[in-house]
Amino acid sequence: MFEHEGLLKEFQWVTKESEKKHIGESIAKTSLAMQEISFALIQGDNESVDKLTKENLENGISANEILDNGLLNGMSIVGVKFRDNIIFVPEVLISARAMKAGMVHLEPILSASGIEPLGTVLMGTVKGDLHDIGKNLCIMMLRGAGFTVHDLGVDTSPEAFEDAFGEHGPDIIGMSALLTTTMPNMGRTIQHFEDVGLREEVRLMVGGAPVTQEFADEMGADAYGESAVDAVDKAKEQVALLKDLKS
Amino acid sequence: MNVSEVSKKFGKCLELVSMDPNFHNISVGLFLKNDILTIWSYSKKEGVNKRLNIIRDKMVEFGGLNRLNEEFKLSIPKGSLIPRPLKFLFVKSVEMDPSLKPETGDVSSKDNKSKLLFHISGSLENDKYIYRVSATGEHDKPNLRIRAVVGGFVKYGDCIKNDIDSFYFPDEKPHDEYVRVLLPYARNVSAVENMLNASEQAGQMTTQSLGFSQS
Amino acid sequence: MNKMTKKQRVLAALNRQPVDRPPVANPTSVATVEMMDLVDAPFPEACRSAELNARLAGTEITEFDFDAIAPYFSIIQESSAIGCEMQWEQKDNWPTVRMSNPIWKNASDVKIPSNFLDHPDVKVITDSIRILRNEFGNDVPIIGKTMGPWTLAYHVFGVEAFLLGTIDNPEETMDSLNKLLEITYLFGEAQIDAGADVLTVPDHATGDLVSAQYYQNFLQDIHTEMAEKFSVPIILHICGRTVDRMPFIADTGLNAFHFDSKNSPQEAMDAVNNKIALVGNINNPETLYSKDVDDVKKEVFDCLNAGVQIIAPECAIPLKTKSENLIAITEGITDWLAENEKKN
Repeated sequence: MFEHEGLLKEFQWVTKESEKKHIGESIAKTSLAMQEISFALIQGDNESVDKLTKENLENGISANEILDNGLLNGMSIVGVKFRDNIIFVPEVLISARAMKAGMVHLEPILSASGIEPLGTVLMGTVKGDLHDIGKNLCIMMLRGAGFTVHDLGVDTSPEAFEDAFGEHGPDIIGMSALLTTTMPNMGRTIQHFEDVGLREEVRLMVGGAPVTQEFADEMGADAYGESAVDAVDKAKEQVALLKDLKS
Repeated sequence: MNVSEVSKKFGKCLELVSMDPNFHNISVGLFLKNDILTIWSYSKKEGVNKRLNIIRDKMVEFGGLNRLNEEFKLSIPKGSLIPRPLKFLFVKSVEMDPSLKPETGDVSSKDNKSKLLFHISGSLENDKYIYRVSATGEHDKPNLRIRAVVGGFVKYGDCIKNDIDSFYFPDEKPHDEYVRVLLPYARNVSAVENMLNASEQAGQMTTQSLGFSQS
Repeated sequence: MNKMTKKQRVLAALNRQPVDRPPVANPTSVATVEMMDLVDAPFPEACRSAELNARLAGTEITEFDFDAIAPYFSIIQESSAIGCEMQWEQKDNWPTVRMSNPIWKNASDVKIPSNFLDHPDVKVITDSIRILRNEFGNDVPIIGKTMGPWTLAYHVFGVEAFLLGTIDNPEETMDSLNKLLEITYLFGEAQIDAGADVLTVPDHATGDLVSAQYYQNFLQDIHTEMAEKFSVPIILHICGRTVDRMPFIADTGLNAFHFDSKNSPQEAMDAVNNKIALVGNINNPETLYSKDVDDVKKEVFDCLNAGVQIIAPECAIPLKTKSENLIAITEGITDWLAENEKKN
């Protein structure tokens, strides 16, 4: 449940039913401590995010939990407000500054390696979308989990995904979008892989603030990652599935 | 000639190269009117006419097109206008080293993403001239690269995919010269996309290019 | 109605008065690589030499028969003069300010050099205006340009730092804007003295970055004052999505607003409610740059049908725009007039 009053007020800006469900459920299962971090991030209060992140780490809360339940839940509401023109770039910049204030403490922990390579992933934000915050977080998490990840950057066309596929032969292609207007390009990329006969060769995953499971199913994606942590879990499942399909 | 006269005389501008690296960075346009192509520049620099004729001759040599007696002009066989490869041919004719000669023999090219060597051969199949892509050399999954090359011809040559490893031009006729011109682009779509996007962005004044937009 | 001179036509349109025919004039720039070759005045030299600048600017009249000349092509001349790090680029690209290396941090850093008007990159514009006035006489309007304080702030502080400052310290932001405004007035007055009939003021509080409330809070009063202080008509230019702030802009008393293709002509006309003239808004990157003559004419028709007072590309045209698409703008107006005469 929403324990933090300020965060509940911010959540009122999320009006699309599917987003209300997905973001709402994600926040509702978090602790007050995490909701405090989410709220401070939305307000752009970088000093509080910094302080609260340090305190929670000292109290034994994992870096993964602070990232997903604190920072990213806050950023998902920022993303919705920005997309709906409730806030503009200055407000996003102060939230991004607050995010960085938290990440300074989390990144060293999350990036620690020493795990067996699990597979190869290509990550890109789809054509027309120049936002990379979500993508970069997923990349960091996937690398931390032991995947080899090639970053195709932003504004990636279906042909560029195909071309990179030919170069790296990945198990998974992860597509990210922050704008509802660019989400259809996920479908176009999936269709393109069908058209060129590569659909069976790779697992296609989608994610990003406006993306939902329903959308992913409609587009024909193999999996949907609703958070950076979920993306890692789903990626592990998909690698195993691809191995089975090919054997 | 002023701009109205150029437009009336030479027709539609199909493509404009903004800086000819081989002649004082002049801009050069490719114009089309009634199957007649004209190479033209507004520059009045000394020697410009000679340069325009050289570009015209390069298009004839590398594109298998028909040289006309008039200055700066060439023609395409009726019904054989395929815009995209023609534009690539024009740009290549302007930008290439003037001493370059067309390759002969097999159409082949090294892959710049692997150790493969691509080969393209054409033949008539059921009244359609089909080009097939094959590859030799080391690669775990050469068919993936071959598919990508076919995709590149579809994208840059206005070609139609026949099969996972073959394509044909929209008029279903042989165009070996276009295949040679397009292969370096077709084998590296993502790099070409980046190059074309960069070229399109240059000279634009938008909120993005000014840095006044979130990115 | 008797045939008007180009100046009469443009000034009448800017004052929302009847015209003999709709004018076409770009308040920002009509420089192209083809015209650079025609008159042998390539970038970046045409941005730094008055003679080359005037030669290139004149093609707007001599080749395309537009109704005005706009010699200040880019948006960086004054920023160069106050010491910003510049990237002058080559013939087919715009000179830009390296905003990643801003020269100032706070309002207290803002200092206008005492010889600002003598700096070569400022003098090129005032001298070019004098040359053009001499060459074209009094019947062709010259549209000068002076950057507004918001755009100057992006250049001198960097976009991100400046925008963060608007939240961290709004009073300091206003202080910075008022100091930078002195440059806007200094350069604008100098161009009027040189012969400019109209001034364009680009001030990029665009919807791509900031809210309409930002425009209202930070810039509306500044622009209202400009409308009173400058002795020539002012065209405000803001790129990007701006229909939400057009009602505030319309209340400033400025003569005209030059608007982007992200706003349709009809919604723009509805938003300004006949309180300000509109200039625009043919799409640059897609229509003028990549599409055909017929596509250009269609956009001209859309603008005229909505009642846009001055037909123009939405912003400085892409340098690689083909000449036939620029001719199509003037032809589009002629076609529209012919079609409307038939209807009447």
